[in-house]
Amino acid sequence: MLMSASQEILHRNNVKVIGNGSTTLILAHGFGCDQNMWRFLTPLLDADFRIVLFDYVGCGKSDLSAYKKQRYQNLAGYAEDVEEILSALNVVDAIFVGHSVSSVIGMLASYKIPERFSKLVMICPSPCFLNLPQDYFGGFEREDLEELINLMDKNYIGWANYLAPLVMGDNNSPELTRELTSSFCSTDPKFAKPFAKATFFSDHRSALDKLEHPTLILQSSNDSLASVDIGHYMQNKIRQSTMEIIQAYGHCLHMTRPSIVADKIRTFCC
Amino acid sequence: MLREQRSLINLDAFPCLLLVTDLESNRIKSCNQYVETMLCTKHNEVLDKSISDFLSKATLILFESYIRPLILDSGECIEVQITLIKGLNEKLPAVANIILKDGCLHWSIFSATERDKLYQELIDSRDRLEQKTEELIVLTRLDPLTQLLNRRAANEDINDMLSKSRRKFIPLAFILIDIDHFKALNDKFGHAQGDDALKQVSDVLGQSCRDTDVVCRWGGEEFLIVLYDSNANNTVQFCDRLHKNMQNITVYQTNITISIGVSHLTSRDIKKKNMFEQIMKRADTALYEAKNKGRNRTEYSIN
Repeated sequence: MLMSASQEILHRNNVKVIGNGSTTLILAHGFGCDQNMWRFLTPLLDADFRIVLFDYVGCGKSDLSAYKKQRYQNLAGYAEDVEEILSALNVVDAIFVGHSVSSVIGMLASYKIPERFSKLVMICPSPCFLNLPQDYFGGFEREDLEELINLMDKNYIGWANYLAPLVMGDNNSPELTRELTSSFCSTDPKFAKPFAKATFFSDHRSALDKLEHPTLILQSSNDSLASVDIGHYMQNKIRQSTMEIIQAYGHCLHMTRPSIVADKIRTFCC
Repeated sequence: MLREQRSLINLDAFPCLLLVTDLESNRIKSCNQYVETMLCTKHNEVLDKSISDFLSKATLILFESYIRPLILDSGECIEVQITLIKGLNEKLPAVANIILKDGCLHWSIFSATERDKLYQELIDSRDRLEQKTEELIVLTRLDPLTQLLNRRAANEDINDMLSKSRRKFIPLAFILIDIDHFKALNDKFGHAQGDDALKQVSDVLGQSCRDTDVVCRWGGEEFLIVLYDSNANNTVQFCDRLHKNMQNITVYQTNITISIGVSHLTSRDIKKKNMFEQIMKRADTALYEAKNKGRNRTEYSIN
């Protein structure tokens, strides 16, 4: 049976809707993982909120045959996934919760369809990971990020799967593509490298002051990817924003401090 | 007996780095003496430092984006290639196996210099293969004279368009173009001039279209354009513009003109099995009519 356009999008992005509540939270995973990284947080929020979970195309259990090289070269392409999911579910006034790069992706989507957003929560965000001396220090030199792309290549074991489409013609047919490994983090370079490039080589600082929606920035006190200074930078640029620094190590607050993150979200949303 | 065997195990004697770090803070709580060989740093200077002090910046991103989430989810991360910082600032490729136990990460890290070289060769080979494949795809899809799509590539792209239109109707305009009196031009001025006319016409057609349209050399002096998402009015304007743009093309002071036959994909067509053939047949009939009516004009098929 043919799927409707909305059903196709929900299938494409492996969209799951859980929880109870009149307010919708949409949780957007960051670079490297998929919606499973929210599994520590969702049990703390699903009694109060309707929660939308999804995987960007190319991540997790998304439909890999829907991957478009051109579209996912920059973050606007990933923002289109968010726009289309919210439209397919006909959600208005959603609270968008984005981890790391997804904070920027959510921000870009909110410019396109502002009516579908009410607030944004940014967990460990950064608008630019590059050091741009005199002006801005995102934490990384271009050569660090090029080494990252190379390391991702070297950590991918499925060479045969990668080479097969080159030999057989890359028609993205479901028979040739397969689900990413059972592990929820995958480094399949076909999908992960463009996401890495879109994430780490982009600069979205100039977009920050266009954000109109109330925004909560949650920054980890010790995060080697997104420092507290970057949190302050974003707070200064985003008009209606507040920042909370959570005493923690690492870049995955929603995995290491889920109860604190859940409390902050609840307070901010109610 | 077991205890006796265990007492023989000297962790400092193993040619790999064994580390225990705090899951939260990344502080190094314990390590074997091999750290002095592998990282060129005194054993007592390593303790209490953060593991991030010995990881390259790229590895830090990998650690925060993949390794740590994976460990938090499944308790382990096996056979991951990382880059260590040795001595002052020397990079050392290494492979790590990491498991979570009692709130600490237990790392066994092996030097991987040779494996790294092999992987780099594999990556280089893959990149070369990828580049060659792309070049070959371009070569097999393009008409060598005009650099427009050839008929086979156009067929593929048009079938993709039609499949999309089957799922959600998108108006498509099929525009079949023929250079007027091309045979006479060839006979009079020679094949080189004929080829020049084909190239000039192709350039105009290519420049007149969007990325979403299909433009191809359908065969001989015939071209096919499929305009994506184009209604009847837009198509009329487009064809008028083509005739106008052709006025700039001359071969030995002879003006080049074209005849055009147009048909549209209708919502009724998409239910038919051989819709492509039927639409093309209508465009072909319209083109024949344009020629019969004196050439240098467009005729539209009435669906």
